[in-house]
Amino acid sequence: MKALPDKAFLHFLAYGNSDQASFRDREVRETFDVMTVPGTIAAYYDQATPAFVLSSRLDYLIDPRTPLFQETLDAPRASHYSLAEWHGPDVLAALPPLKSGDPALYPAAFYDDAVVAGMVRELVGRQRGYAAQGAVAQTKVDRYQALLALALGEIAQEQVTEPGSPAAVLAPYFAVRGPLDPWWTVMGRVWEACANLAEPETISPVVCVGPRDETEADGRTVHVDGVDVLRELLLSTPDALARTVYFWVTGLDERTADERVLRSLWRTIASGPPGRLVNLYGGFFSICLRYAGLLGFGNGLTYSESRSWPALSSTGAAPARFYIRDAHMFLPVGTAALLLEADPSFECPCPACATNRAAGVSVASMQYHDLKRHFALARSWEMALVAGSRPADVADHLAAVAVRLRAARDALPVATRIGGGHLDRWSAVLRNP
Amino acid sequence: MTGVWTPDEATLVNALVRGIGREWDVRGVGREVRSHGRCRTDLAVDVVLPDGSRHLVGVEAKVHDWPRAVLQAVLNRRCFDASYVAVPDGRVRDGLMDEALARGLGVLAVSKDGSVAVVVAARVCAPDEPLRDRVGGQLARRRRRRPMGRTPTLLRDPTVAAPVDLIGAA
Repeated sequence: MKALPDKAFLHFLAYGNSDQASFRDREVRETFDVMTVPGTIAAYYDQATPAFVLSSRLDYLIDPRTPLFQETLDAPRASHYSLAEWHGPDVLAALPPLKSGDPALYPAAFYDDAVVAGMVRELVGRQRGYAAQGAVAQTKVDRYQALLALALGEIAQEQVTEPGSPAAVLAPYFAVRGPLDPWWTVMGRVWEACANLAEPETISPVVCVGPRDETEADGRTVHVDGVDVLRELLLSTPDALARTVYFWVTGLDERTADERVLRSLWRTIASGPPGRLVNLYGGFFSICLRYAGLLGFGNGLTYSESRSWPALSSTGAAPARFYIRDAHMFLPVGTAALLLEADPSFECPCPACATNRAAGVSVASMQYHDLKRHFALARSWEMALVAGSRPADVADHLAAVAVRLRAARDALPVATRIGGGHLDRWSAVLRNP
Repeated sequence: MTGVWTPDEATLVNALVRGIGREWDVRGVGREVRSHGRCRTDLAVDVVLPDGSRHLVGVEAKVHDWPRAVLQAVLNRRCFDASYVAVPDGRVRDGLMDEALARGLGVLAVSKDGSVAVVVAARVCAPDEPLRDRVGGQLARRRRRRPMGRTPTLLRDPTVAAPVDLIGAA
């Protein structure tokens, strides 16, 4: 079994079908550490995806996306059937006929010991055996290797004789709303089944949490945030499995979360085992959580800094948007062009932007590949900024950018929605975590 | 205000299309044209101006929310040779005029009978060629065979301090 790269802080970058050229780009490849492959893509494109992944020379892991098979899955698509195969015969058998339009129902009670054992065995086996898919798709592997060599300016190599196994194997997981949630009991069964497999210390637990509303004795409704649920459950992760724990707070958006939630997340990370926690979906604030002891975070190329459940089944291509590096936020390409016109100090010096500027192309008409390349380079700059600064310095940077952004916003049409409140909130938490 | 024409947006656009079709030398018209990102412009018009030059003009039509129309029209400056906001006549607000003049936009007033007045002529834009080509490519499929009228002056003379002097010029 491979292991995660031995680095102080890791960037996980999600792979999508439209991202192949980006993952072959030499500059983009240097901006992340591990490629995350969605289980749906790994399962559905059972030749093209392993061929690409195994020829990429990148460290990778596969995200099982198990919450697709939790509660109700409306109008299951073909890729869901493929992924269900990876989750064992019982999960597959519970799907309605394809194109029937009927939903699939997976209540917590469905996942009894036998179903969970079968699911764990199949899913862990598929991940551990993924390297063997290279032999099945050898023609495609050869083709993708040649494309990679071309992209990197190398002479085509001989075929990959030892395609790599994943850098981590993730246990199946479900969204849980607290210790009394029946799905938490299911998670206990999952981890127990993992512990009964060979080499359980190579299987990483995933803690996926969401908020809940509680009714107090006096009838009041109290909202318990997903981050609070994370704190409740993190201490109960199993000792028998891998030390690195992945987590996902469903619906948590770092840019809209209030200070209390951000501070709570910081303190939860800080009180957890240092250097062992990975946030599956995050952005710049997650990069700053490095100071609190976070090991790594994940995102897609211009998307997936946040993810909701049960909206997991409704993913698709991300809209074209430009990442304002200094302000650590996305804007629609037209609005971004307006902002840069109003304040050129927000222009990005990265090669993708510089080349387009030199050609007279504004961000409003940047090609999708360049938008992704720019984002990857901006992300790399952000990580270097945090790695080379103290929290107070980053807090000062954020506060200064907030002032610049407010000034630029005043010059734009009044209906322009730019936001920027996240900068002050992040700054406040960095100063006083 | 009593008697002010307050159509819904679709009716406004229909009146606008009828009006410019009658009064301007139009070579192509497109509704809900893909412009930048995922945005769509209410109306794109391929027009011949009195001096014989040909231009792509974008129009955002709004009945109530002129600030939003201004923003969309400002964004359209990346895709068109000239960018306009169209509102029902009687709803040309001072705020709209100030913003239009400050940002190089034009303002059209559309009447119930379908006439279209150029309240403020637009300043010529410097669009991104890829975006302009994308818009133009969509209009090519709707090109008219012959001119229907004579276009008013749609582009603002940069030497003229008060663009409103161009009202009525043809």
